[in-house]
Amino acid sequence: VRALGESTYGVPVQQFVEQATGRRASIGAVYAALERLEEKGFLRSEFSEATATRGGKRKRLFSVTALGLRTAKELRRVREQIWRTIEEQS
Amino acid sequence: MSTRPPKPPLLGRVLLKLARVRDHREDVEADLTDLFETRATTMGRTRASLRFFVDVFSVWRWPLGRWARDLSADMKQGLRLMRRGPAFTVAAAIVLSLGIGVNTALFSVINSLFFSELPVKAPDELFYLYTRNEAGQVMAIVQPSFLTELDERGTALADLTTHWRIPLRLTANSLTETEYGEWVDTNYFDFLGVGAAIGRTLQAGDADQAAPGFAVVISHDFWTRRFENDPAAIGQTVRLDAAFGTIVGVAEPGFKGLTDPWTPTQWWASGIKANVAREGQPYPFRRYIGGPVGRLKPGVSFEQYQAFLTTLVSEWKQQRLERLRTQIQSPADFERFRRSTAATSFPMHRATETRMPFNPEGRIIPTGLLAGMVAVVALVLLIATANIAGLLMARGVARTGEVAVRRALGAGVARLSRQLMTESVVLAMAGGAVGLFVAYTLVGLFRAYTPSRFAVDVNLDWRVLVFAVAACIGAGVLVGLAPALQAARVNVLEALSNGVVGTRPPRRRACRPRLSYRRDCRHVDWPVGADTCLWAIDGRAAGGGRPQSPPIQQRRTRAGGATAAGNRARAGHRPSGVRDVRAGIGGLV
Repeated sequence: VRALGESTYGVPVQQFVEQATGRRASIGAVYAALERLEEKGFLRSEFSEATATRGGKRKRLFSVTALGLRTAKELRRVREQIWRTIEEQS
Repeated sequence: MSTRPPKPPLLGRVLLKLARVRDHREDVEADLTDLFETRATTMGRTRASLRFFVDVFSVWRWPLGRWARDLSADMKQGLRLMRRGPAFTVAAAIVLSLGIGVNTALFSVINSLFFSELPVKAPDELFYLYTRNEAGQVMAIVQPSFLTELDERGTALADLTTHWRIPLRLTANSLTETEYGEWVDTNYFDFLGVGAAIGRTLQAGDADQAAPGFAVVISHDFWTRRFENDPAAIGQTVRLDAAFGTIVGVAEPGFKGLTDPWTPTQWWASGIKANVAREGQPYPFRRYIGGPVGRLKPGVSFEQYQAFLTTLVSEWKQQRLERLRTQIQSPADFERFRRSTAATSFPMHRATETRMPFNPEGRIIPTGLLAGMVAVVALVLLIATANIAGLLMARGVARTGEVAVRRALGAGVARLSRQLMTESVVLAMAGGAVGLFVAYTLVGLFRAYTPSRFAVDVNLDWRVLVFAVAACIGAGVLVGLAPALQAARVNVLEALSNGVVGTRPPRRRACRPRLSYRRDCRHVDWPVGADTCLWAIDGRAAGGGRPQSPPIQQRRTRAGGATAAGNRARAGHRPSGVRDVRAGIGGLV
């Protein structure tokens, strides 16, 4: 979500995941993941204004919360630490 | 002029409408339509439509994850409750285990009677052939001339053997008892793929008329009872009524003949055809040969053999009548036999579906008896579930506050019912685990106290386990029904304003207000809990409730000190929402 800007919705996320991983990702799986992240407080969502391009239907825009960002950074730090340890041993 | 974007397939759109996506419907439908339009331009409409269906399926699957998480949370809650009340858990598990155990034990007997597999090679290929006479009786015998026709013309479709069951006075090892046995063809054991525990099974030479007596194979059970598993039994002479035979082998354990469970075969003797040695004599026609058992050849279906049989029977009847016409002088007698022949039919039954091979239309257990037994054990389970439901309802009173808070936080009646039922199913599963032990013990007693010649090997197999799990779920749902209904009737405002919150009994306090947001909301996050409580107060005020709660600032602990909440409140640390709502409801708090 963060990689796609301040806020984004399901379709770009799904396309981004497919491009980034080179594997198919179903939209339902993306929704489930977004919902779980929102439940955990890492994301927040709000409806956008209705636009004519989607037949007047609103988008559910997701954005990363401060907690989400902190957790992501922490995850990255832990991963890098693990890799450093692996590289030091090899 | 702009062209209209392509629309996703109608069926897909309908399926998407039916998906359970709660408050996501609007954005999900728009997202999927967006995706379809993008794909339709890049990969073509057909492939985009296929991907649309895949997406719709994934959206259908999406709530399953949510349900699974809910289920997991409810089960954990059920386990926590069980741990908190060990006495209740043990009592409930014991009561339920009796109900589930007795039902499972009965089912294991029924399972063995109705669903146990024949201990022979490829039982699916086997069938029995019967004669239905003019009176409509079905007999496990056929006329020799018909069997000869079958043997000669049906070889390409099926192999045959014959057997004929009869109880005879069997004298062996200086002891005479009436034992059920079968006269069989010499190919009987090879045909069924059953071997010998010791000695040998029957062989082709055993049927020779010149052979001294006949060859006898005894059952493993009979060998144990009469010869105490002594190998010296082989070669001993036995007497079957007036005839003599020689024991040539003991059948492998577990094989009790092609018969019903109540009369297992104790001996098999060769010479079934010798019993109808006078077959050549044309009159009278009351001589029969035993019931044929067939094994379909590979690639031949049951229906194909039936079609062959229909043709064969028609031709056999015609030939028989032509022969009788020359042999029977009396026109009245001939007419009688003509009618009898015309009415005769040869029904075929699959061996796997025939539990009473010598009485295919009989019932293995009389219907009334079976219904009575099922009713009694079902009643035991019902009484157990009713008892536990009563106990849970009593406990439900103590959980009124918890239910009220959950409902106030937005849990619907269905969600609460699911939670309570899951808890009771977890409880029933604990009962079921003990119940399986009860069933195992009962089955052991059943096996120990039934006659050794009883042909049913009652075992706890996968079907019994499936039944036990189903019984647990059924009992759990039944047990959870009453508390769920009770929870649906909880008056949220009344429960919250009475201060009955939490599953533990409230602690005694010197001065306890009727509503305390600190205590009442301790199980929920502060902002939500506070709003809920205040919403309850607000609702009570709007409904004309008496403003009887003392101000929070005045609440004191037993020791007389100020509460932390009171301190925070005095210090002005209350959330703004709380202040706003309080301002709105005036002097209530």
